[in-house]
Amino acid sequence: VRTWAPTHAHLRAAAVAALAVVVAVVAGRTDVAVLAVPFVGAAVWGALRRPSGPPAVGMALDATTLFEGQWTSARVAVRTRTGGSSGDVATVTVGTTAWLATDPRSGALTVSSDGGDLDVVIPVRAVRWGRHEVTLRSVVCTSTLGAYRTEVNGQPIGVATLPLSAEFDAVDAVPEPSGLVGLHRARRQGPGSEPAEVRPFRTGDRLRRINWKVSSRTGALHVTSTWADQDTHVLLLLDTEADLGASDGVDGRASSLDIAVRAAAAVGEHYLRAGDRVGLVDLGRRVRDIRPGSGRRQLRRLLDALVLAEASSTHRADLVRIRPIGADAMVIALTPLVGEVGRTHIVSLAQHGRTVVVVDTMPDATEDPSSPWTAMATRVRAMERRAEIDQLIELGVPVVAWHGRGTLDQVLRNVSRIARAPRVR
Amino acid sequence: MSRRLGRLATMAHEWTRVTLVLRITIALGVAGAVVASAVPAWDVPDAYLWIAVIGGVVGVVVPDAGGASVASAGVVVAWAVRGPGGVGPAVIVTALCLLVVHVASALAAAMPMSARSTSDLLVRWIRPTGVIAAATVATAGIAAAFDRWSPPGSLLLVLVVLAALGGAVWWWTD
Repeated sequence: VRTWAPTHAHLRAAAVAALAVVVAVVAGRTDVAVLAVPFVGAAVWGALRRPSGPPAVGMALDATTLFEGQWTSARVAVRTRTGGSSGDVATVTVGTTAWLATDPRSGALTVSSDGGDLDVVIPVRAVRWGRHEVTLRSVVCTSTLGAYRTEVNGQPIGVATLPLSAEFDAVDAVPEPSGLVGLHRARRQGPGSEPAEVRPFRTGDRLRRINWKVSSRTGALHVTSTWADQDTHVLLLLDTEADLGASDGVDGRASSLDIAVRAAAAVGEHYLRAGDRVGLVDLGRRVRDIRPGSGRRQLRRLLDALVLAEASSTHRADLVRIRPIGADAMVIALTPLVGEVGRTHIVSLAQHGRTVVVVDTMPDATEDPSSPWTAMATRVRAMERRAEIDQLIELGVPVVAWHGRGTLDQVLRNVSRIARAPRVR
Repeated sequence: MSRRLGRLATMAHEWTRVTLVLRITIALGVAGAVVASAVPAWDVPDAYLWIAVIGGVVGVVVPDAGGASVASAGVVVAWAVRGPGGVGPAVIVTALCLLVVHVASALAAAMPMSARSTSDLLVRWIRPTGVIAAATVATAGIAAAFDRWSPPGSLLLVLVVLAALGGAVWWWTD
């Protein structure tokens, strides 16, 4: 906080007034004395209106947790209760880290003041997932005729932008439902909501399951049995070895990491809402591993971890050991399929009998290659990548490109059908 | 080069109407002061007016610096060095233009180029500016009367009027 200090304008008024008066007196020139009048007036008026003390400022955000594309408001309060003044004109400047946008873009708003309390609202929009900061860069108050000025700075406020803008929905088919609390139809009959068959009454059947219409028609007690509702364990494998493609935030192009993080959030939310247990493993180790869990708190835990994801060239993904997971777990790997590490983990999991589904997060190439050699290299690399994807498919690992709602439908139907098929040992 | 031009274009896109109007006002004020100083039929040394023009350009680009001060001082010195000596319309126009330059520079210095503001801010200091402009015209009239009357010590009388003006402003602002 700085006290009110004279500005260039005030010094100009005083200096030019003094110069003109001295010249007028020494040279005996009344015309020069007339030229001094505006500056004398401005200097005297400004000096007489000097404020007593600087104001107190503070900033608060309406929300510190946002979804991509969501707006909030930075409310800047200028208070003069401590004997300060907000002057005649106040300029409030709010700064943000990358991926937050303000309206106006500069984050600067100038308002007139009567010297009392001021409340200025600057809208802030979250453009991309991640952890960001909003800072009250400065509140510059200027007194009458710009004679005195004071500048007060504020503290940064953290904003978490959650990557939950992608819509996702999937068929209710998971290969190995095994728990007790989910919504997936199990392969066995039991307590649930989906009717399975009408069969003769057996010892242990609940009385409220008796189908009276069939029983009266056949003359023997029959019950309506249901398929059991069960949950499953979904492990999200996030490959952050590389971030390919340009990222323009929620309104523009998406990089491979953008797609992976948004897809992980959307898939995680979908299965958690269905009562499943969802865990997360980040091969880049920037995000801490999230143990499997269920419920709304697990979703929040997952999203809070995902906002920290970033591609790192110094990661030690090759050393990452994936915590042992149950044989019935379904692994959804989100990877651009360009590095060795992610593919190695996927192959290892598949060879250990886990159900693995790969979501290809490679963005569409939109930029023309800068030279024929670049075009050639891109083609060769694309062919190599295609071959690697074919190898995965031969291993029984389906690979699908991410396109939001329904991405995994066909794949989940296929793996469920394979899992339910009788096995020859 | 193209990147710099692109950055300049981006910056220009963010300039707001109020800040542009203030800068145009500064430019017009400096131009008016220089023309009013040069038009009377006497030989003003060009150097001082060129200094004023350069100072004015700097004042337009960076209002919160010494550009407007240099421009104002250049015009005053130009009058002092080779002025005709009497109080006429040119002096009043020059003084009013310098007042406009001063107030517009002070307001422009209070906000960055990209700051959003409402247009009522342009007339924020219209009252003190109007009072000072009226005082300038009144002082010029008194000075012209003293020049015609030519009493001994007329300059001192003008300075007394200036002191009275300061007192009046004090009274007005209290």
